[in-house]
Amino acid sequence: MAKLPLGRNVRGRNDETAAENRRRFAEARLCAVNLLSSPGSGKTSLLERTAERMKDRWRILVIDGDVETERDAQRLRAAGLEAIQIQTHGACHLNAMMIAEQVATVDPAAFDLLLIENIGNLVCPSNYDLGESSRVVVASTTEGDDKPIKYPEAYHTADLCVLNKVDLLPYLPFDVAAFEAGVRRVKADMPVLHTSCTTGAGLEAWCAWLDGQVRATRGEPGKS
Amino acid sequence: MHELSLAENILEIVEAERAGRRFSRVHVIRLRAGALSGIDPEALRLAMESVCEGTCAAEAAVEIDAEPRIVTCRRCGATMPGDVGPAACASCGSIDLELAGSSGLDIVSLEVD
Repeated sequence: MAKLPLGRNVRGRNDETAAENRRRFAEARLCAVNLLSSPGSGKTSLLERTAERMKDRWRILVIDGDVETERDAQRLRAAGLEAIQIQTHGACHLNAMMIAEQVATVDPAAFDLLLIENIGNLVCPSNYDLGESSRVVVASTTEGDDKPIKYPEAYHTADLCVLNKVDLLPYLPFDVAAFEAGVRRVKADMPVLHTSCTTGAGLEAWCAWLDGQVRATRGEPGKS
Repeated sequence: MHELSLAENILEIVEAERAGRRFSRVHVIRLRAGALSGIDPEALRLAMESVCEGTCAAEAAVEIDAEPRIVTCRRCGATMPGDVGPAACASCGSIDLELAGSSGLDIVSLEVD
């Protein structure tokens, strides 16, 4: 019996494709944002509200991942965005190959912002780099405030945390300070934005953050 | 559930090695899972069993070296195990703690003949 040392990254093919996606996005000066969350945190609602505020400013493409149905893409098209639906038929995360396949069907340079709505799942999508320029984890007040320490992978890899459904805080036992302490523990200095897609609270700050990401990708200075 | 696609990735790498190095059976597949790799070792073993059926790795033992999660106190620098996450630093009581670890999953080595 012989021992073969390998030292091979199991996600190597994904990571190589992600690097290729990243190169294509940079070439097209396309800002790609990967949104992770549990099911039902309000990712699609957040994107609908984002469309209202940003679709006249930037050319936006959404790639929406779900296990089954076209429903989310239909909602986003109704909101005025160009949207591609990926149905994974069972797979619990998007991978870089799925994104490459869809990006090949469009001209990436015809868009400024690519919003990737990942499958609602805080475990599996965390460790699949899609080639995005930034990653956002969306939490909501109807989930436990201990989610960041229970699902550290998702929070650890994110650049921004959005706490959605804050309009419901008066009716829920959700402890915002405990939630934010959990976020800090998993990822020091991660900004946390509070939003409500119902009242519109915090959506200006969220769109300003996205705006900054797009401008940085395009090499433009941020708004003063 | 992503363990199934990881098991497929592992088998792809093993089969590619077999093509290059001409071994017939794999006895041991040794993996290293980072503390933030999101791997459930039991689920990965189960997935490997099902994916490797009828292949050169059908009988292979899957050994997973899972790195522990470590929490460090940003105030006093003490370290402690961080599986569920302590509420406060065991040494100074600060709640300003930081979880660290790698997200990597690697095949360290194979034992073959």
